[in-house]
Amino acid sequence: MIAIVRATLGLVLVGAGVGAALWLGSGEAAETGGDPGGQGGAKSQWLSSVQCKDCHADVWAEWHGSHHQIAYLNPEVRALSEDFRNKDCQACHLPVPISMTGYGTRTLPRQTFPDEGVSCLTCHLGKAGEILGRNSVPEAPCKPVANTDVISMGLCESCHNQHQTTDQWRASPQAAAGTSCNDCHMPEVERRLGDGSTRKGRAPRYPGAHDAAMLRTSAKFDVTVVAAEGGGGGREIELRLENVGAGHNFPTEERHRAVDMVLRFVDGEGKASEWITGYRFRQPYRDEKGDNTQLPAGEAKAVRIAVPEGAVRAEARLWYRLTPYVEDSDPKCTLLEERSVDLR
Amino acid sequence: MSTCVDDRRRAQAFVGSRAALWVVLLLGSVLQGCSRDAAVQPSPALRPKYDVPPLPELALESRLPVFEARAAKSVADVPAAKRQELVEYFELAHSESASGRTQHRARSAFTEAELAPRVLEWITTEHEDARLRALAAFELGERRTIGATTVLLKRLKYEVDATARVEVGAAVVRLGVESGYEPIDAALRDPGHVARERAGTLVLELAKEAAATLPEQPTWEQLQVFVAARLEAWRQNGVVPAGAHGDDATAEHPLRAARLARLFVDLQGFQLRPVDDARFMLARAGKLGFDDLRLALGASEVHLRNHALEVLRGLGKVAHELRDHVRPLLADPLSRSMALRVLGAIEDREALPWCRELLNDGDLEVRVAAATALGTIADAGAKYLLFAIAHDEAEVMDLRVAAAASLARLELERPWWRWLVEARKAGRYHKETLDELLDSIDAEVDRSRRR
Repeated sequence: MIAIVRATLGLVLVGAGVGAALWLGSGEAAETGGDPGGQGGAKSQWLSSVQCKDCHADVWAEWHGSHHQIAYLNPEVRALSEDFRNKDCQACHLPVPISMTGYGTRTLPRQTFPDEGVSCLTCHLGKAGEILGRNSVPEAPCKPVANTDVISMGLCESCHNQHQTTDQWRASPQAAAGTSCNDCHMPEVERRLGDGSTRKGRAPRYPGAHDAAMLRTSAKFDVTVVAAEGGGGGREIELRLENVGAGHNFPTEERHRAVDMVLRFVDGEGKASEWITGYRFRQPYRDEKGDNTQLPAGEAKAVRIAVPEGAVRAEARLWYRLTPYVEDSDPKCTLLEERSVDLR
Repeated sequence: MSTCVDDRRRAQAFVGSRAALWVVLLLGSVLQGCSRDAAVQPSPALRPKYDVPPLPELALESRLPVFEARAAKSVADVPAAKRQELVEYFELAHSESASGRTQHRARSAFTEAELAPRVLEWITTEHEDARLRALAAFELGERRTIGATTVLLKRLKYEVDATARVEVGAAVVRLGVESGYEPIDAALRDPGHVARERAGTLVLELAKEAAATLPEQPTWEQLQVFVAARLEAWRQNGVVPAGAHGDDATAEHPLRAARLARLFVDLQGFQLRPVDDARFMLARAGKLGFDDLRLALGASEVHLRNHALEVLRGLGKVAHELRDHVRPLLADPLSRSMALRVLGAIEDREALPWCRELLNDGDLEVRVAAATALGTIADAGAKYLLFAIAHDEAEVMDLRVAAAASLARLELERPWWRWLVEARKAGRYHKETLDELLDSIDAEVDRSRRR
């Protein structure tokens, strides 16, 4: 019995000793982030956007909830990509850091941190595992290194030229004037620093197709009564849309996106006609017939619809639809403008 | 600064939990008289040395020009006017309102035209009338138009008409690619399928052509079993037995080769549709694409080699013979995690030492891929390595989930399957990813039980 107790105590002591040795050994491995495989590859202490949160709580909060953060979680995207069984979608919705594959070229998918989608590290992690930023700040814990690529259009292009958006921007008046992606899609904010002072920065919220306020600044919608072409005394309603604010086509990106100019007439008894689609701005799906009718930056499109006899009022609306074939009441539709024209 | 402090705390927690785990496991193994199999490897210094052979040398070369040169041997489009003329002959030959004599003359005019095969491809792909698309596909198969293989494979992706899909599938089979049985299989399994009868007839014809045995009056079930067996054989072998659909099916064919090479040229640029199309076709082309895939695996163009890896992962075990071309990519920073997944999918057991070693890599993506590969290769020897990771609460959840999923595969379900279910229930990890993992484990368990 005593022998068993002694043996057990001995084992416990040996175990404790080995445990201590292991603790030390493991500690070294963990702190140095060693590479036992010795095969190379991007090694970094930066794995997740959560690591950025402590120092950059405000920036993190701006990004969290943005369409970049939910890129891989978004139910709309998951449905369209068949839950990412279409693996090619993953490269942009859950990308490796853009620096790895190069700015202005297609990126590759990662498999980790699905809830971070297009994360802080997607844009800010350098090829050698360093943090890239607008300025070098060697005293900061993450020691950002100044890099112009992270504020360049090439960073966005790796994903956003999939639907030619950056090509459209290159041909736009905004590009000629030096307006970049970030000027519109990373709004300026004033941040309070620890010492009470403030500093201007840009918020990684990326407003776009889901932001009604931004959509409303993109285009100018006009509804006017004009004499019918060819004379005869008739009248027509001219619906006109001018892309005054978007530095790319309106709408751009996905083929689901559509902008509709619609019109209806109201007679003297207050009876309204059906809504008539005056024009749809959209790039059709590949298996649909029709041309790309998106409105390029700086351009305008006008259509005319004859005023029927007895009409006393014309009502026009400008809709933005996230997917093309949904009713006006669907939450995927945003009413951008509503106009009424007296015809009496 | 707080990030540094947190990192240190995290590291301490990680080290502490690991140390405690090692002690418990070591004591447990000693007290239970377990062999060293039960011990886990706690640190590089004390971990038993695996015999890890050096990786094959990574030598990448620009391969896009090679693909471009191969693709250049393709044929030009048929001039629009000539195409229109031949399309009209084809329409007339199959017109229900035309007289027999007119049909016959139109048929002869079409058949004798040198460009008829190319126009048949156009009709199969572009014609508005689904009946004519189906007839054109049938004729491409009947004529053994080997050059149309990629055209028909792509049509399998886009054809929405149920009958035309079955005809396209049969044509693909006749060209020596038995993944074409997929739509036929679907039609046979669905009693209400509009083309079920036609699918049955086609199977009888295809079986006869391949000199395969089927009862003279087979039941629907017998037809299903036959087709399922052909599909499984295709997945395993990626090639039909010589002469199964005529000798041409397996022989070199310049147009088919040029069009397969074109799939790799079209990967350049930003557009993802050609990438998806190419993967769809190559994943169904069996070994026909191996020559190009082998070339792409050694490409300095990152998207070429990653695309080849994606295709190989989809092909699975049939791609085992390309393992020697995949292994060097374990040293490629841009494709090593995908290479690990492929080695897992093709069940390359000789790659196990590298997979185990890369569990400790500095790149999390690589560690996760290594943990996954150990499960798909079913490396029972890695059980305790995976066990230690899955148990380690200081580890990144992505890695723990991958390790748990591999353990669930190794143990054919419990208790790691339950651990994953619990993780999903508690919202500890991305639900859809866990759903996908659990589904794939369930499917594997089902397959194993059937075996």
